[in-house]
Amino acid sequence: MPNPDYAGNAGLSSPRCLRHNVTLTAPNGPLLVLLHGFGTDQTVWRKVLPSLEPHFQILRLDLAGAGPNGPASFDPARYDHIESHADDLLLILDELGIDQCLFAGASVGSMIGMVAAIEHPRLFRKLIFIGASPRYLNDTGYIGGFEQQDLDQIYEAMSNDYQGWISGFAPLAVRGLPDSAPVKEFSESLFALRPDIALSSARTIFQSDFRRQLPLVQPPVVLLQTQNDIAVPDAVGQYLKSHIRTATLEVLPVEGHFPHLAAPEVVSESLLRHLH
Amino acid sequence: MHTNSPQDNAVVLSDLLELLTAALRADGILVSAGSSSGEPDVLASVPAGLVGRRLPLSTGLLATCGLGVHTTTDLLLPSAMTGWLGFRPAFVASLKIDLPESEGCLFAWWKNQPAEDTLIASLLTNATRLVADLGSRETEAVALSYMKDRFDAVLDNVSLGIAFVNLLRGSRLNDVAADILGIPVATTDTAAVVAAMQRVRAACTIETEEGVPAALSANASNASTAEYWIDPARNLVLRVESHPVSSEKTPGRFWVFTDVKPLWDSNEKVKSSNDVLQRNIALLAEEMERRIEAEAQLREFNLGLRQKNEELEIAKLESDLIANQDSLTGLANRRRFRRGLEEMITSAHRKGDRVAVVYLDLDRFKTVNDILGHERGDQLLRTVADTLTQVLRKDDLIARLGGDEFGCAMTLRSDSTLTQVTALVQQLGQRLNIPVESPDQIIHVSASIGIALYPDDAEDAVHLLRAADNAMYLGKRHGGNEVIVFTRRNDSVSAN
Repeated sequence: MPNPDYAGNAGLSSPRCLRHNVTLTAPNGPLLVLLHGFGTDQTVWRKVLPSLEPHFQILRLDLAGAGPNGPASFDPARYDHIESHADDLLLILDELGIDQCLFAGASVGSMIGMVAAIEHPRLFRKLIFIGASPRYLNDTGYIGGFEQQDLDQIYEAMSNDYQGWISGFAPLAVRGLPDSAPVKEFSESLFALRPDIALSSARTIFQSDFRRQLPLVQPPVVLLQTQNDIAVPDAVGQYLKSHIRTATLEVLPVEGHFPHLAAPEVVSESLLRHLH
Repeated sequence: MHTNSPQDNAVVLSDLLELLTAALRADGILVSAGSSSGEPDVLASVPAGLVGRRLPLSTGLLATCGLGVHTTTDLLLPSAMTGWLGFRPAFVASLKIDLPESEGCLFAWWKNQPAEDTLIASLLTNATRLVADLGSRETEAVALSYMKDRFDAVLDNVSLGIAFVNLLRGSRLNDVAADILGIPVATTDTAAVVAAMQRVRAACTIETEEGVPAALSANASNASTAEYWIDPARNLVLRVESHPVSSEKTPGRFWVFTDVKPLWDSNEKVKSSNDVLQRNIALLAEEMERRIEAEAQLREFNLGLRQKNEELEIAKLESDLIANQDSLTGLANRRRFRRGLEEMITSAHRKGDRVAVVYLDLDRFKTVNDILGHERGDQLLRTVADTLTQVLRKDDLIARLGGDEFGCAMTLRSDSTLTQVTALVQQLGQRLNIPVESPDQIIHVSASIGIALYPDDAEDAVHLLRAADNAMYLGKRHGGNEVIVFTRRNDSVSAN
């Protein structure tokens, strides 16, 4: 079934779509939104795109603060809550006249999609979360993976020596050798972020808590989790699965927080399987 | 001069909003400020927690402003709403607020469909108060600081239970009231005090006095109230009075709780409670005097206050008017018409006059609406309203009853005849032959009119209106543009 001409309407050249650098591929199938996470922009999907393009029309965007318009689109007072990003996503889909889509998000992109889906359940047919976490801080009866002092150290390192922090953080997050291509790509992407925006975003993400919202999710959710993900302990995947009524969990045979960079073929295969 | 920080404003505002939330039985309220095209800030919210956030308000959501209670099914809400409330609100009612330097909006949210009737009017009243409050923040702060000192002295020196419930500044209790209500004496949260009152009252049998409004009743908002709360489980018989503090610009009430158990048991209820009332009123009068004195002092350096009070009064009047007025034509609405008709009948009954009700329905109004659109239709309705106002007498009651139906009621002195009335109404019918030009034809709008008389055709307002409606309907069946006078024999006389 051919898609309506989303690209042809005036929406794509609206100020909001321009600000978020919204891109659409050819309408080869149902609309699929790919949403990046912290420290990256829409180019992070570069390697999974070719295998998805023949089957979907893919919409990508840069979250506020990310991509070439990052500094212009970011307002620390507004983006101190992740919901503001979800509003951006909803308003963009609204402006383009999209009334149904599939969604795949990475890391915090997943939570943004989830919040948007709670607000507008009929808009999303299915949600795929890659390396998602509803809360990064440990709490009574909950393992998020971080203590507040861990996070404070991260914030301090980021503000003292951003570049130095990147060289330490990127290999851990991607779980690769410092010289490997995926680590380099993530490092460069982080480096392109303005340090104050990076710090502000990191705080907002790491201090967030969406556990209360999990039972409100209505569309089917597939949780893709990797092994040895520095940001998301195994227990988080289990927690999400047991608190989102519609969720199924698949553990990918990949390591690290950026499987779409480190093992794009595994992610592509899984996305195609779950979205078909 | 005293100035408040924005933080203080938020605290005061949220007090008001909490009370408003309770009054509306809403699940949340937020007030936004800022340009509606951009992303406004949240000025205050109940529950707290959204203050200071910027929320993108979709055009769909803003379009519900002033439309009463609206379902949110097809509206794009800010995502933070659900996380804030813990559920996605299914209904919203919103109003525009003119803030000094920006556009404001007040949104009330419900999880389930609210009871609609009194709600919108109340929302309007409270929201307009809010506007007045925001506009005169500085003057109010001074007034309240005086008030507080005066009041504290009274509170701590009486043996009665006293609660001062202030919508803007929070509440104050003394020990006795706190004990009766079962909440800490330090409670200042107005919503908590009101909730405690409702809780205690709900556990009691309530007795009222003749001629005195009951507490929490609809017509008690501007009157003093008195009732007895009897709770055998707590061995409690309370005389509960509440008095509006209306000379103040901030809406508030004094509640006085008196234990009258011994008197009640000895069957001396009426006489003794009157004694109690007298004593309480003496205390309150004293307090009022102090307040008036304080206000006089304030007025000297606070010239703006009086003007603000007037604005508040005007806002109140306007909201009363809205409840009785058809917003499109400015005529009375159906509710006001029925009440007015009842009054006219009562008066006619006493004086031996008659009352004529004229029921009027436009012919081909729907055609105008369908072909030329609602705006032209609305314009036509206003023209009809103007014609009615011009042709009929000043004392006649004229209303838009809904859609394209209008009603008029006129008192006929004993010396006037039915012929005079029908002549007037026929003249009206001719004036309502209105040609409306559309691109390919002229739509001949006219009116079908029915007349019925009190006491000839019906004894009360409801049946009289129905008789006139029936007569009108007969005219409609004849093809419209006709005046029909209702007769008892159920076949009407055409007067055209």
